[in-house]
Amino acid sequence: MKNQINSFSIEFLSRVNDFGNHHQKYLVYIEKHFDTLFSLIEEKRSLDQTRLHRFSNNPEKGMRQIASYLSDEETVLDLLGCYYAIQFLMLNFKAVDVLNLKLSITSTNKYNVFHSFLSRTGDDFRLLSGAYMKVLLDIFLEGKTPPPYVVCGVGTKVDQDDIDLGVIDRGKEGRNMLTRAFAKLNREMLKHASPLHFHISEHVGEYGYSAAIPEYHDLLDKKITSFVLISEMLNAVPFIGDFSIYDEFKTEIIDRYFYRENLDNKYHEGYLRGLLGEMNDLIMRKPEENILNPKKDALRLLKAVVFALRTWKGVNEKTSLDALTVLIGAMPELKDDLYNLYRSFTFIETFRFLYQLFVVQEEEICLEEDGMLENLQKVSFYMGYENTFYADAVTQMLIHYQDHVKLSQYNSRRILKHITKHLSKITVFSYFNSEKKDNSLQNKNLPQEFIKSIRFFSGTRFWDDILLSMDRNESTILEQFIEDLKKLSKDDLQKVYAAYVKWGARSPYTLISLFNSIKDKNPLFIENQICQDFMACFIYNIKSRLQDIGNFGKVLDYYPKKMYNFISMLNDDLVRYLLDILNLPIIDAEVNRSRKKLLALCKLHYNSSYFFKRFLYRVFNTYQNFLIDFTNPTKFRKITEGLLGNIDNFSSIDERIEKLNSYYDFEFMRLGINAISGTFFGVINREFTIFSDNYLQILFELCREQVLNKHEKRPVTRDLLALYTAGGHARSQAFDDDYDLIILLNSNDRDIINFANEIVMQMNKHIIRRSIMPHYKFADRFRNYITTFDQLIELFENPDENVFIEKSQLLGSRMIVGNTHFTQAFHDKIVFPYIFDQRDFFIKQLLEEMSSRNSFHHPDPPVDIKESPGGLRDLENFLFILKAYYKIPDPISTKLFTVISNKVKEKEEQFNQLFMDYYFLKYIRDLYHIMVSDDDLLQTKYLETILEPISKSRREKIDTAQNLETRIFQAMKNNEDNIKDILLFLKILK
Amino acid sequence: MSFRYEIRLSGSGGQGLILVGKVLAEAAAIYEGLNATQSQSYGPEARGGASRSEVIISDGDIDYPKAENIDILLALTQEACDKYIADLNENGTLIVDSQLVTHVPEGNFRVIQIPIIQSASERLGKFIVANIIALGIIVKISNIVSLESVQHAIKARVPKGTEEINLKALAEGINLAEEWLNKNS
Repeated sequence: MKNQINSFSIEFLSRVNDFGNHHQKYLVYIEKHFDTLFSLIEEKRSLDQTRLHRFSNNPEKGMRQIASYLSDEETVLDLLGCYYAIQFLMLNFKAVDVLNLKLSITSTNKYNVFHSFLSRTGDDFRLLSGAYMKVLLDIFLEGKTPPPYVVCGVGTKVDQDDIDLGVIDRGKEGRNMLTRAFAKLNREMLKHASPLHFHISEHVGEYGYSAAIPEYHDLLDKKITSFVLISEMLNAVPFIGDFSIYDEFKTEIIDRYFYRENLDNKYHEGYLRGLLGEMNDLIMRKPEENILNPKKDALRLLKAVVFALRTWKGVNEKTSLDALTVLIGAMPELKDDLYNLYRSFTFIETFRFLYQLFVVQEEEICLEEDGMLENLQKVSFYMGYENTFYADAVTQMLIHYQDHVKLSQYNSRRILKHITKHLSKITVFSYFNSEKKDNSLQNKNLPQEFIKSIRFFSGTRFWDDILLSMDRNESTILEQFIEDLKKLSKDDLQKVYAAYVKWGARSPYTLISLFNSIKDKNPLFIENQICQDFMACFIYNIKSRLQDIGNFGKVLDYYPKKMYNFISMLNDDLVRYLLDILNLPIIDAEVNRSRKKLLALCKLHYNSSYFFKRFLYRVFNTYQNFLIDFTNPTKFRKITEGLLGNIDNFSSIDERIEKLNSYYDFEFMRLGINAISGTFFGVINREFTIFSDNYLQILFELCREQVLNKHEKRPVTRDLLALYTAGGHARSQAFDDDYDLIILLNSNDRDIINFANEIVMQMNKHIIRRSIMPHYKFADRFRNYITTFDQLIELFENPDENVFIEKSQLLGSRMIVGNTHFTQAFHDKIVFPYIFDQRDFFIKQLLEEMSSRNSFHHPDPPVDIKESPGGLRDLENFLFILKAYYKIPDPISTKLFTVISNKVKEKEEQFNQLFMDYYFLKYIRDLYHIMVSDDDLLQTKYLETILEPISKSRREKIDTAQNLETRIFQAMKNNEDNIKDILLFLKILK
Repeated sequence: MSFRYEIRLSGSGGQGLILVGKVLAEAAAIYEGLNATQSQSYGPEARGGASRSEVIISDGDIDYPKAENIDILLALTQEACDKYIADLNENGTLIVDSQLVTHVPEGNFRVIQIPIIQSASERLGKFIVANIIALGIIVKISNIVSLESVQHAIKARVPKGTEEINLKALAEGINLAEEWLNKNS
């Protein structure tokens, strides 16, 4: 007899070895019992009916024959297990052989081949496993008549890793008999076939493997409970027992989840809210690059879409793919989207099936695991891929996989909008859609009423339709909501907070949106204690848990504007609480990535000055689509480069100015983030200067063009007009809160003056909107934005005691718009004759200013980094003195330091020290501006805030605010000493 | 009188706990001739933060498939530990990853704290086999199935090409449990 198994098994074993290791379990039983089974079948001459050598189209018949030949239960079970194992393996051989054949003769539509493969293999598996279960149940019921029951398959019929069952009976009477039989069935299935899962019975009823219809009523009548449970019930296909029980179950329980025109659709609505919540989550999901998970990546989403549409359109097909096929015909408006889903569904389901067949029955596929690429190669070949010159089969398959994942998300998002519209038409919360005040709410408190109504929907997470209705301008519901909140007692408020927090716990997006809507409608109410307590209750309920952080992270990924606005509503204590929990790592890589991004945002907000927050707020509120990767400096930079490059692609000047403004905001924010993250300030200052110069130059050009378009006569301004920046911007200093601008004109032509004035007025309008205050340095004195050379000459010919200020401004200015001819004229007519040639007077005035200022500025804390002795003002005045002394017109820069120090070689060491301390103080001031306040008076307690970026960018470890303050004092003292020393050496100071 | 032994494996999705459940159940049912059931997180629970896989092993019939009196609870995250500790039997055993579960609840049960995930990375260079290390610890602590059966079950459950590293991880888990038992006996 051994010969029989040997001849049978050579090819058989080799084919099984091609499958994943989990098929070895079937070989264990085949090797143990094949000889006995074969000899028994041969003895009974029923080899042709049992079909040991190929998959049987009536396995139940073969099993019943085997069971009838023997009376010993243990032997019967062993032989049935062996027979099942053979048939199961034959089933899979057949499945992949047919798939191979079909793919080899199909060059165009693989997806229909995949569909028929899944459908046929699922049918075969249900035929085989159903037959096995039927025969086993008969054995375990031992010939007794059990109470009426029906067994339904409730899972995906092609899934072989487990079999999901729902067992419905008529009640507790006689249930023990069923429980015992199912316990034995469960054992045999785990050993010989696929493990059974009775998820429904874990939730419904009290004990055992089955539950009765009244028990379903008890669980499901008063609340929606679990949309997953409902999906399984909708999938139910009866295959053993009394089918009339299933019919009753369908009528009483299942049908109410389908849409019924003009009837109560509360159950349908609840089910949809559960499904849409899941869809939203999965659409927002960003999988890890090195891990595939077909279920999470696409199948769950696709099934949720199909279940939602099935119940809306009354489609009764039991598999998602069959239902999808019907829906493509039934919903012409969504035909293309549905067809794309069909393609993705067949592809990914087939991929998952083949992976589980050839590799392992796990959902998660780690691409970096040893041997994974060889394992995936088998899958790719069976999916019809071949190694080609341009890409191997696995690469092609993985690229298509990722395409299908993205397509699934894209098309599902479009379909979700349609379902949301349907939901808003059938909802029990129709009063949210009404433009008029709903009379049914009279004498009721809306926040309390709403929370009562949603009890039925407990656990569902989709409320976008309600939130959208609240946001509508014409809607008064939110105002009523706010007014009614104010009417509640303290105790009632606490209850309402708790109920809403529970409602939003699994979908923080809903509460975050609600707070956003409240702020939009009534910004003052956000400051109100009621709202602050409400938000505190919400925030303190968030813990460093995978689920909490994962859900929060998704809101940031997809709604950065809402998330940022919400964070900006929180007081410092709440943001600190969030920072604390976000600092803790999360083991799940996908959620950990979201955690880091959220942490970066909270840190950015928390560590920003009010001045910088205004930029953050504007950018997050205007360009949220660009902010998905705000923590990725490279991508962020590419966006800003793209924005700059894109300006000229717009035809109208207004559009170009709008895009230019976007570019400014983004660059400002990008550099602010980099500065806070510790990028070296030399880099920040350089990039800041480049972009703000770009901004001013292009803005000037565009505004000039705009003004020119209005004038018939075009004044010639070439060589005559120039735009200079003075102050911090001229010194390449980042994050100044103002622009000191000087517009010089080498002409007295009235037309040109008017023309230039108009340009500046236009520029002014746009600059102010960037939260930057433009200051026109000579506007106060000459009552005009434009300053002519003649006006300057007249002033310098008749100087007053403060004229050194104007001269310093000119000496410290840097040209932004203009040309070398203008510069030459400016030097010849103004700088040399009135500043350099009168340097003694200018220097004297500067020295007096320093002396007088230093006499009333004392060095005690809080230190004024600009005006105190040795501060930035002293350093800048010192540089002006030396510029005048040596007649150097260059603006203040690192180059200027070198030029001057080369002229006083004897004091090189002091110059080096001055250089270092100047840039140190400038750096401290810039950081303080974006992280604390745009103020030069440094408060000791806030210096703590800027310690981290200092140590990152300067590699200088200063660990306390006190130490930093000491370091600042030291630098200022050094400056005082070095300035005095150099000026004495040059005999400028006596 | 037949025995019923309940094991709950908990942590987060992607930690391979369902595989551990399947291996344990098959080791008991296929290689030891015992009865076993295996179930796992389902529905909204599976979509949340804490994932679980349960195995019930008995020498008699298992007439109720849900674990409610847990003999061994493995918790690989704090969240899972907090969520499932209530079902642990008096005198049961709580096995936690000592680095990921820092707040160990108090109660009348034995607590075994072992750096499971760190051991996987440091001793085997593979974070991904932490689940099998945990399985080794459970096998040693529970004594409910033999090492040989578990080895067979592992070989029949893991992808081709990964058998060796998984068997090494199992041995590592057994060693870690032995070290703990020696220290705490």
